[in-house]
Amino acid sequence: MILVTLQATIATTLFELRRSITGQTISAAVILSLFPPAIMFLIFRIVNGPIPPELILAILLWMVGLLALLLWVPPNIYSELEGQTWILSTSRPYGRASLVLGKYFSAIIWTVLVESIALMLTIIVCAPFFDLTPYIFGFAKVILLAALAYGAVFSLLGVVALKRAMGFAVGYCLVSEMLIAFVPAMVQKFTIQYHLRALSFHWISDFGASRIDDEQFANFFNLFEPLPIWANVLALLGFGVVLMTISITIANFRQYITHNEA
Amino acid sequence: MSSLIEMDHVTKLYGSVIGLNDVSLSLPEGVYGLLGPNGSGKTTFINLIMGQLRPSIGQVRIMGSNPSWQGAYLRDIGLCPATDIHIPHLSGLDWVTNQVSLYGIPKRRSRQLAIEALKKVRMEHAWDRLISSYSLGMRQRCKLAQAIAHSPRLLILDEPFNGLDPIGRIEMTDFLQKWIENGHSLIMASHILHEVEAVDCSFLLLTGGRLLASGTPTEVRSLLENIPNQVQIKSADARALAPHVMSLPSVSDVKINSASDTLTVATEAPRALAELLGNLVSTHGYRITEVRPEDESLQSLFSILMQIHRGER
Repeated sequence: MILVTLQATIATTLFELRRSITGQTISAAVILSLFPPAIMFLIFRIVNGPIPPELILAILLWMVGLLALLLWVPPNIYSELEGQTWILSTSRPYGRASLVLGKYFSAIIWTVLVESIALMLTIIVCAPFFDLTPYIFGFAKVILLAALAYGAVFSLLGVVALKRAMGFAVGYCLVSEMLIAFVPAMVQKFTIQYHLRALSFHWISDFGASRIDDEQFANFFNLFEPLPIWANVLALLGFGVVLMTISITIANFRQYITHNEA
Repeated sequence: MSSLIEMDHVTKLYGSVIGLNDVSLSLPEGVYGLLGPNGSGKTTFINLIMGQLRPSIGQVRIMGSNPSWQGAYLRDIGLCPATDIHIPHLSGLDWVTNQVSLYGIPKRRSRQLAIEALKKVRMEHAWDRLISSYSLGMRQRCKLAQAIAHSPRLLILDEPFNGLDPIGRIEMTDFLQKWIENGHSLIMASHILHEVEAVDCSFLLLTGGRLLASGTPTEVRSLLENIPNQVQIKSADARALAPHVMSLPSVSDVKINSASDTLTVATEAPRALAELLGNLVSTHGYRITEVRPEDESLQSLFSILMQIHRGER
């Protein structure tokens, strides 16, 4: 059972990546990859303010990661439904699990690829103004963990909301990641961004916080009562594992009605 | 031998709409035509046995397994659904290869199996073209290819003749006949009777979600012994024959078609009618050129069963 699911998951992942090589997706990837270097370049040329460049880059890459996943997961699920191929994939042994996992892993690969290109381009473009190379591995680790966690959230939304997944995903980003994540209360620990901020602080840079006596700023990076690194990593991986388990369970028990019956 | 499919008082509800209504059956390995008009519950039946849907009431088992578990038994099943496929940016070969690899078959082997299957459905001339450029019939063939590529024991086809041109229909019929000859099982849903008739099979007749009848055409015919059989008698002496035929107590109706020299006789005892005709030929010298039971075709059976179901007979 595990072997069949694994092989089918790999097949689905490769298939999703293979069929994503279209003008539309390549254009999206190019635009997303160019977004951070372009903004960083403009900031260095025009503003060059006091905000640390690595902080701006972290925010830009976070946005690119969310956008890349938004552009990948919901349309992928929607196209499967619209193309009426869902019924074929799920009529394979353990096909539902491998379908959900395959789409999840392909989304992660796509997102990490786009963000990595964006990071490399930014480093190259910003080289005359600022050396970002010391932050590469920190960014890489955060990018990967962010993709794993956010990918799981969007996969779950895709399985639950189906055609409305895009709307729900945007709603989730606005409410959870842009609102609740900044509420100075216990509830922010249940957002992905909270843990990403903490890990960014540890792995990438202190973003100048140590030089600034600003409680708000310190709070932003969870400098008060901070969780240890392993706890943040575990929380993000936990998001991925738990949400994907829920997604697979829902997919296994959900009944999918075809147009003929609707 | 365990049953291929078992249904025990299965009902499927879509809210307040009944998709399938209290269906019980046990089908051994074999060839079955799932017949019924649109909306009769054929696709619901298929989705229940494939585990895409769960029954609201009752139990379904396929090859001894609960279909809801979507387990390893699915390797022995090939499904060709009625729904059309719309996959842009992919060739038929790539798509079928991927569908085969979802069985856990390595990529290279999957491609080999996909090529063989596409050859069987006569798609070798177009398998490297994008699916978006295919006609409906070509997409139908692709769906069939992905269903047969892994050599399943049971092939389930939902409206397989949809979109096929006349040559395609003949080729599809030939393919299905070969499939049956090789000892494989088949369940074929269709609302077009002559397509099912072309494949030698037992059938399940669904109407309004209910299983109206099942068995071979002969078996179902035997259920209708008390229902008048329609027999056509072609004779140059049709008018002279009519009073003799009417004298039989089992004959309830006789119609004369002078233009075609044909008598259409409704009788509950076709054997008695046949004996009478033999006597009339030998004693009176009437020339009878053809005696043909009108109800032998599946179309007639279908009509009769529907009339019974509606209380018209």
